[in-house]
Amino acid sequence: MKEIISILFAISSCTFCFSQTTIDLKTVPFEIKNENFYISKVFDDRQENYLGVIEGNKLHFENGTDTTIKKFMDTTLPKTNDRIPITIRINNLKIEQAQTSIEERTARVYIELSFYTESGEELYKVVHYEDQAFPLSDLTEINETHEQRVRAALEYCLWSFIDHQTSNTPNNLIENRNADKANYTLEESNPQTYVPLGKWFNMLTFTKMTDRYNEGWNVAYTGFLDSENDLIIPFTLAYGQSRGKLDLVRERGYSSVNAYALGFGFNGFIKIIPSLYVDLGLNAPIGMEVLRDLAGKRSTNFLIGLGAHQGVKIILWKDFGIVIGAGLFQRWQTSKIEKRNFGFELELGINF
Amino acid sequence: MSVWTIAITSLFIMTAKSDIYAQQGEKDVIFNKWHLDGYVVDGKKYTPSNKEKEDYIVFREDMTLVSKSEGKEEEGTYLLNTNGAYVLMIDENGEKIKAYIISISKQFLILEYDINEMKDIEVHYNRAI
Repeated sequence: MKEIISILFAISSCTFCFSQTTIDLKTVPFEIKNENFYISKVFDDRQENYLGVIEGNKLHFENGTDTTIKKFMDTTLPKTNDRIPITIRINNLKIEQAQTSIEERTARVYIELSFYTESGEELYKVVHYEDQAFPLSDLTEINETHEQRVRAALEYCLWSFIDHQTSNTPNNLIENRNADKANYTLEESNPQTYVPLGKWFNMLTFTKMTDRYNEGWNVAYTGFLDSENDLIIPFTLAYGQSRGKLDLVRERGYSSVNAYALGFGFNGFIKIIPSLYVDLGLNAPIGMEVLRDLAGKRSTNFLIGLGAHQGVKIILWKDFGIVIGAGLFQRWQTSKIEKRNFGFELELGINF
Repeated sequence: MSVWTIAITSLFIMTAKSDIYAQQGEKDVIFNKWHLDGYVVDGKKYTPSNKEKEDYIVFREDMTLVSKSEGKEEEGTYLLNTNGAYVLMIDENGEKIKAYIISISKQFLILEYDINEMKDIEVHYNRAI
């Protein structure tokens, strides 16, 4: 019995561990003419020994990051007696992929490399994102091309170093090409800091609305790419119904009024703190109002309008969880009951 | 040979072809004046508009470029990333445009610009005579 428990414990421990995926960096030399340096040493200064975690798999190079990058550099800039040795330190190297729009997935490599002389003098630091967009379902191609984006990022870093040395250092260590032509910069003057590739949220929500004249509800699908600082523009598709309150409906000469509408709108989310968003929106509901007068005669009315809402939204957990929201709304529409309106709304849903 | 075999073989050849440029490293082939020939979307070719008929790009060996777009000439620089199979073009204001090299030969160049409005559009160029 104890052995069985131990085995079961070992198996369940393993299921919580990340599985490993090896990335093999292909050898594709690219031509750099008239260079008088080579990469003598590569040091991996990162704390983690993997490149990224994709769908539960930790990515890493088979022979270690420093050895793999050294081999890449040796292919293009082999050591010769007349070349100056340069050291590279890997400050950061990350592989990521995430859904970034309603129909697109982005795969990205983030790299920070520093170039030093053999005596330890820092010559240049390059920070670069190498990203590529794919259709949402292209997971296989994304996984197969991570290594290509790493190679592209490494090549970019080399070119950036060469151009920086040519354009910015009068007594440059690395003589190169035509210095007169180097009047551009590949990198901005302030290097970018790492910002994780945003997470895509899908939400299905039910909203209950109430105002002076109506009670209604609305179901919506909302998809958005999370961002810490930028205004988030989600994609929203919604359908709702509302019913006029009986006493007010009768005042207008009707026994019942039902409204059916599709909402197309633009929302903006602003992230205040993790899990908490301010929700601002403009929408244009289009639909139909079905009225029945006091004699029971049925009629319809085309409904078009403009609406706005302001509220807060709490998304408790990133991967799967509950969404809670509350807010105010204002509406103008071509209703036979009441054209201008404002009210309250409460929202409950799930994110996945 | 069945229809399915032909389809799978074609797909393999098309997939393999995308790596050919990077493996051969034919960097010097791009040093040329390339005239805009047209656009291909979903296999259908479209000729340039009247405004674009004189459009071209010149990639020089010193990594500078000159381009003409809808009658307007601009100068800039470029970086050819062999491993990424793209050319990164930088204008005088520092604005960057990435264009993936779909294929290149002595006579023809096909780019796919990494711009939302140009997604899935092949831009075809031919070499100046």
